[in-house]
Amino acid sequence: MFKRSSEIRNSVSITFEGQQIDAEDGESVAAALFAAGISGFRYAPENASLRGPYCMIGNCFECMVEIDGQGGRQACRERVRAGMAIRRHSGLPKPEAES
Amino acid sequence: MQDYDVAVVGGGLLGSAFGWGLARRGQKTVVFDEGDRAIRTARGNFGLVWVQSKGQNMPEYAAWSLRASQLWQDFAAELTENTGVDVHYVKQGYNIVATEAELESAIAGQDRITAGMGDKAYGYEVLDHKTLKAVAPHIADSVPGAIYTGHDGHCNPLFLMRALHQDMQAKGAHYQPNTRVGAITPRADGGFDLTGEDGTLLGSAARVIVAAGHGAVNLVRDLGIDLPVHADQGQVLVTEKVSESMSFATGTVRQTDNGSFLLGASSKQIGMDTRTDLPTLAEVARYCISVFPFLGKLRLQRAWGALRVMTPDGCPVYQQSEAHPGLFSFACHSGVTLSSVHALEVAKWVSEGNIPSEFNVFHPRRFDV
Amino acid sequence: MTMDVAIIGAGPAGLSLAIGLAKSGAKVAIIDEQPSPGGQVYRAAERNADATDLLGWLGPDYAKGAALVAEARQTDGITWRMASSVWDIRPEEDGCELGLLTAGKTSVVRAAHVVLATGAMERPTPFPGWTLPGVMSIGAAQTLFKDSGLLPEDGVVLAGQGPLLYLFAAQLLAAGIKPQAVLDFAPKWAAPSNLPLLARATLGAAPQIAKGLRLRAEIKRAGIAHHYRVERIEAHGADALDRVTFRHKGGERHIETSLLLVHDGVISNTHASMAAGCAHDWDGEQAAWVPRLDDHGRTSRDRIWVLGDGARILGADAAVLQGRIMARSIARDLDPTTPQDAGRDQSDRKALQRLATLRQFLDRQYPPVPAFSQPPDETTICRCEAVLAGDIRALVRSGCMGPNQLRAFCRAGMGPCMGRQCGNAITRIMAKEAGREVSQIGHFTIRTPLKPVSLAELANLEDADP
Repeated sequence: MFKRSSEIRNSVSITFEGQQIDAEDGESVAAALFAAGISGFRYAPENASLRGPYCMIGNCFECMVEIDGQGGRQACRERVRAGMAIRRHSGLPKPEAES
Repeated sequence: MQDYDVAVVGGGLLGSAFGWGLARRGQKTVVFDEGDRAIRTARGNFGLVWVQSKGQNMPEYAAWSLRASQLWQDFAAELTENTGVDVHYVKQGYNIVATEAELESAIAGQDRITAGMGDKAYGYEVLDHKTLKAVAPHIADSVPGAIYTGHDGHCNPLFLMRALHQDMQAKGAHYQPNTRVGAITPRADGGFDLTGEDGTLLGSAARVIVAAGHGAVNLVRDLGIDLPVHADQGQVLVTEKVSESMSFATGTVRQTDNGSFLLGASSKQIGMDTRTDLPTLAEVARYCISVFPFLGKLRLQRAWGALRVMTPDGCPVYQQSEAHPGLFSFACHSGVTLSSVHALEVAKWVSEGNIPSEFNVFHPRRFDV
Repeated sequence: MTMDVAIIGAGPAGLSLAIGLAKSGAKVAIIDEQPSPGGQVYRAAERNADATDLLGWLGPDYAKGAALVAEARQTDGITWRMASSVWDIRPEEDGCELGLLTAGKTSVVRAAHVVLATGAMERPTPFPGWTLPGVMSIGAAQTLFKDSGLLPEDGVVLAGQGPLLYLFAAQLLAAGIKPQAVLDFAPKWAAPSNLPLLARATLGAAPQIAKGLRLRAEIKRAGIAHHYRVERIEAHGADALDRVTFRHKGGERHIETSLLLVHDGVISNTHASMAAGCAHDWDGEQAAWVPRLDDHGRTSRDRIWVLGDGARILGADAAVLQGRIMARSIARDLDPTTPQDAGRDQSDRKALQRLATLRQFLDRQYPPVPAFSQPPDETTICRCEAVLAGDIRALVRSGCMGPNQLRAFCRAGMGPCMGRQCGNAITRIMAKEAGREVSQIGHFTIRTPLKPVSLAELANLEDADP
């Protein structure tokens, strides 16, 4: 779908659903995922359909992912940091009981 | 001849329940509703079908709430069958409290209700922390326990209203939105003319129910009825959706059928003001997190303020005008809990033109002492 | 933190206003979600200031953003609050309180005046299949381009109408990317009835009109299939887009592609002004809600102002002019002894009028695409809650009188986007089905929070240092 117009300058390593991805430090998480060929970012809770970014300006919330265990993060607004673990947002993270 | 047997003024949860119940009894019914921006208490409603907090100082109200709870299952099932709209009624609720002091006060309240119930089947249990933890694994270690009655539960109040609107029309009721009734005028033949705010005649009816919440006060004052209600503002918080983890409701937290958590129970007397304020929202959030720590992680989706229709003693007002028989004026803040009895029993009173004497206790003359 | 003026949005409008106000001595804060100023139009302008390739592809209109940002950065007296979202706007007696969220920490900013410079958003374009990954807005792809240097691959299909459709196609061609087709819903030429307006617009804004024609010529020169008067479009695929079907010249056509970019003009982003409780009116020419403003940009709520495309779409150049004018108005509000500058006001307003004429021509040339404003019943309208056009129409037929009742009945507009993405479409679908004017149908009431905030962040709410 998308490709980089120039090489990565400050490469950092992140993961998406456990798979390792090289990304540009500080770019938007959405850009990093697109550049790695990923287009489905979340499952809509209403009908479990796969969704991806639509507006890229923080309005549509279709780009929600889980970052380091926190669901509901907007991939168009979050910036890449080394070691980020990203997963698809299912819309339904399970609340954990207090241990 | 009048155009309708009954005209209902107000299309909120009260008016919808009456409209549905009357249409179901074969009454030729019209329901006048306001526009899209009406002060709709149902929209702010928390969705509790709740008995244990009601009528601690008025046994008849406690018994009436119990009766409502007993009818709710069949009422919900009938609506769902007729409309395909699931109102998601779940009869499971615990009054989970944050502190020992709250628990003590809750127990005292239950003792008052039990004493007032007489021979009616009402009982309650106090669950200690350990017993409660077995059914509510998400509670904080500091939670002392909960009250359980077996009568409390919750539903989706928005779908309840949608189902009532849909089914009352299927049953032949005439639903008229965007219509604010400006005046009710007694006719020579014993019925009433209803006119809009601009004076145009909207129609006539043999009997009229005014169930317009805060909007009803001025409407019935002209007919000599004093409706003693004030606005009690509650602020409600809704979270993002999470997977199903809590089937029961508490007095302040419940998970809706779509996965969101609702947090609520603030109460302020600040007039007709629906605005939220940050200290109150933060306080509601803090209290609920103190009971269920996992809530802190969830995203706030929406917050709003809604106005409860509150009477001086918090109990319902049901009255028929003595000067103008056939004119009924009803108000209460527990429109969800009581919707079953409103639809199935109060609608019968109106179609028969008479409030049974055992319900005279709900007449506002009780405030005259 | 207590300010004279808090500006929400660091696009051309907010920057221009901040410069003007800071120069007049006001204590001004500028707040934006993005890590650096520029807004959507000049997104990442600072970072790209030396990126010669990218600047060349994007063209001179983008390149001039860097100068505006630099001017603002060099102006003393501006407090920058970048990477901060405003999640709460609360008008008070003597000013306004803003709830801010910065790096997971909530705080409150108080300001005597608040200016909403929240800019534009793309008009929602619901059509069957538009929720598939691989379908997105042209603006979104352009943002990826500016912000991250990401380019669509060859074979991308562009659809919709309006200046951005042509601009983005030309930008892609400059960067060496060949779109497979441009599916244009507009006619090729202006209708005869719109020609007098075109003439007036050309008189006042000749370079812009010439630019539009040049962009179209570039698409043609590159040999890209450019279909005018496309009537209907559908996206197909299982978990992602693989095929687009459309209707053109009476026949059904199809194209294989993994990326479809759609655009149907821009509308004012009124989420913040609605949340603040400002009155709005339906603007028939722009087919969108706009805040009700006086000549200076004051809303119906005391001390809340709206500026730039958030007030009404006029574009970035107009936003800069409006920012200058408003800086003078607010300076006089803060200190009534500030001298009037009637001469500059007049010349700025005159320049603004020329751009308004151009916009009026564009609004008439590109009214909303019917295929998107009245899509078939099976189309998802509320993407968050998966509510279909048919669901909305059925509820209208059963007496549902407005979007707020609708939201209660079927959850449309109740999801994470809080009606931003669907509000405009829902109002128009309801109006058509009910046979009423859009202005009679109304819009969603917008509630706090405007942006995501966790309950723990709310519970830990604390005031910023005064």
